[in-house]
This record gives sequence, C-alpha cells and structure tokens, in this order.
Amino acid sequence: MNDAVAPLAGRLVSDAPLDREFEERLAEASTLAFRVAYGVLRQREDAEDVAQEAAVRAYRGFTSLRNRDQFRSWLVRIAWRLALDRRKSERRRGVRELKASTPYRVTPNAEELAAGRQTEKRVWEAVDDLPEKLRIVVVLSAIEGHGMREVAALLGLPEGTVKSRLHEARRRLLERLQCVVTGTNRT
Amino acid sequence: MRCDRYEQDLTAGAAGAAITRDLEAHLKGCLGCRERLAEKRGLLESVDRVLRMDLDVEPSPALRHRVFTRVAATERERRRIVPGVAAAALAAGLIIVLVAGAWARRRSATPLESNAVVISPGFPVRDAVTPETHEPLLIPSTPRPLVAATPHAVQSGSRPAVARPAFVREPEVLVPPGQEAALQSFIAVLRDRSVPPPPLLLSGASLESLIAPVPLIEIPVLDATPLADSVDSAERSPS
Repeated sequence: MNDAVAPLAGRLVSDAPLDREFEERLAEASTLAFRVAYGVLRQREDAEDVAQEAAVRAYRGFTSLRNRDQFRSWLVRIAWRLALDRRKSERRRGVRELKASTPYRVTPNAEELAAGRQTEKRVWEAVDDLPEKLRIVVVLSAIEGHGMREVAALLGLPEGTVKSRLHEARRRLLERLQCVVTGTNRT
Repeated sequence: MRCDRYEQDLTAGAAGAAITRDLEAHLKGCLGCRERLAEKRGLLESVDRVLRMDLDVEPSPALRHRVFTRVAATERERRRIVPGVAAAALAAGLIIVLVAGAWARRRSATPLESNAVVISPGFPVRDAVTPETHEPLLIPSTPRPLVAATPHAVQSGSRPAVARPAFVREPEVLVPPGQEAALQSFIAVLRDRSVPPPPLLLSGASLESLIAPVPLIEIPVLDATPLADSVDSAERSPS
C-alpha cells in the first residue's frame, strides 16, 4: 500500500508525523471505503464523492481517534453512514434512478450479461430492502473476502452477533429471491 | 403437505443455520426436499457471487489523488480560517472581561457588605439591631446620599444628624466589624451630652490650640575624630 502513497508524497497535507500517519492509513483504507459506499449507491461517481467526504471527515477527527489501529473500521463506518445519507437525500429529491452497475469486469457473452444484470438487479433490490444492520453485514462480507472475524472487527461487534445477523440476512434474501429465481428458471 | 412443514427449516439451513435432527431424518427419505435445499443453497451462492463481483469494483486511479487533494484543500482552508476565528474569540473574550470588570466595579460601589454595619439616618441608635443579628445598624447621620464606600471605610457628613423618615435609607457610614459597640456608645454619649464632646467637635476651636506643641529635643554636638585616622594610628602604633 505504500506504493500508493509514494506518488502522492508531494501532495501531502504536511510533513508532520500525524499527517503522514493519516495518509498512510487512508491510502490503505480508501478503497474499502469506496467499495462500502458503492455497495449502497452503486454509482461510481457518487461512491467516490462519498469516499472523499469520508476522508475529509476522518482527517478532521483523526487527532481525537484514540486507537489509530481502528482507523479502517472508523473510516468504513463514516463512509457507510455518508452513503446512506446521500441515498436517502437523493431518494427524497426523486433525482436518483438506480442505473445498471458498471464495474470493470468481463462477462462471457451478451445473453449471460443480460441474464446476469437481471439477476443482479433483483439481488440488489433484495439487499436494499434489508434492515440497515443486516445490510452492512452482507455488504462487508462480500467485500475483499471478509470473514466473520474481519466483519466483526470492522463493525466493532462480537463475532457471534455478526454471524447471527448474517444468517438472518441470508434467510431474508432467500425468501425474497426464491420466487424470482423460480420464475426465471421456468422461463 | 408433509414436506411443507420443513420449508422454514430448509430456508434456515440453506442460510447457514444448523439443520435439525427432524429435518435431517426427513431429508434422508425425501428427494424433493433434498433438491429444494440444494436449490436454496445454489440461490444463495448466486447471491454471494453477484455481490462479490459487484463489490469487487476498483475505484478510478485518480480517486486517491482526489482524496488527498481534497483533504489538503480542507486543511488549508481550516488553517486560513482558524486564525480569524481565534482573533474573533480573543476579541469577544476581551469584551467580556471589560464588561465584567465594569460591572464588578459598579457593584463594588454599593454600600451593603456582609461583614459591615451600615449606618444611615432615620433610626435612633437604641432601636438599632444588634450586630450579632447581622442586620444593618441604622444610625442617624446626614441625609446626603452615599456616593461610594468600601468595606471598613467610614464616611461622615459635615452637617448634624437629622431625623429622617424610616423609609429613607441613605447608608453613609460603614463600621469595621467589632467596632459597632464602641461606635454606639460614642454616639450615645453625644446624644446624652453627659460627657463633653471631644475638643475637636467643639465649635470655634482652632487646630493650633488643640494640638499641643511637641517639645524640641536638643542634640548635643559631638567632638569626634575621623575613623580613618584613628585606625591608621592604631595600625602604626606597634611599629
């Protein structure tokens, strides 16, 4: 991760040790913050805006953060909260129209792409309908191959709590999607 | 119908919960329920795959640069604003101190002090409240309004005491704690006229006549030799 910091050395806030530490930790956690925001917004530009805003807020409060080792989870929670707020405000304004996801990946062919996008849309609709505390567990579990322990550390929760929440989230997703998949298979 | 009662258990088992013994026994003999369980698990696997793929998105290469640029810009803005805010806070604090000081000075001009006895015209001495009660001791004095007084300061008017209505309270004399009885007795003596007033209170007496001349002390002139000479002579004498 330090290679990501090196090109930015000329743009550091200052050479103070505190600023250097912040920048190193931010470079290590900024992608996760972006992905968490993307899990809520599913818009690259919006997610990057949220990641920037989360970084600014983290910088403002960095001196008051007692345990610097928790910076990553702290930043994730800031990004999650900012993304939820942004989504709520956009929904209130009626501006937002969830577009198809545009991640950089390759799909084998057009049919699979179409079917995949349909499934993907339904899956995300089901995820969006989950309660907030269940949704973040699902999103974090799907990012970077996080296990229960990592998710628990990121959320500051006991591992057992995360496990039970994940089971409950998957159960609800299954109930919600079962009819959809059954219908897709029949067609 | 028999299999429908296992629907929730199948869903929970597919979601990761433990499979009950009852369901396990049923699954051994029910191909349909085994297929349903596999279908549910497959569905959840596809959900996991979709989420993993969608969230495996990489931010644009410029994101880190933009993040750091924005943080730096925010910090510069903060450093530009902070001195102004600090100056404003300092000015506000200074104003508060000045106002508080003026208010305190004005308040200190009031004559009522907890450890002082206030003497004002309008009440006879004998009816005054004793100092032990910590009530104001009101003693006839001049009707002149009090200007300013500090604790243990005594102000006295030039005019003789005038009886004033009870509702007129013009405190003029502050008596040091412990001196109230002496002052009361002094005023009582003045009122009874049993003892002639001190010479300073007699009218027509001049200051020079009241002050006895101080006897002069005659200082004899000493005839002494300089010290240096005597020392030199003492040092030279053995030789």
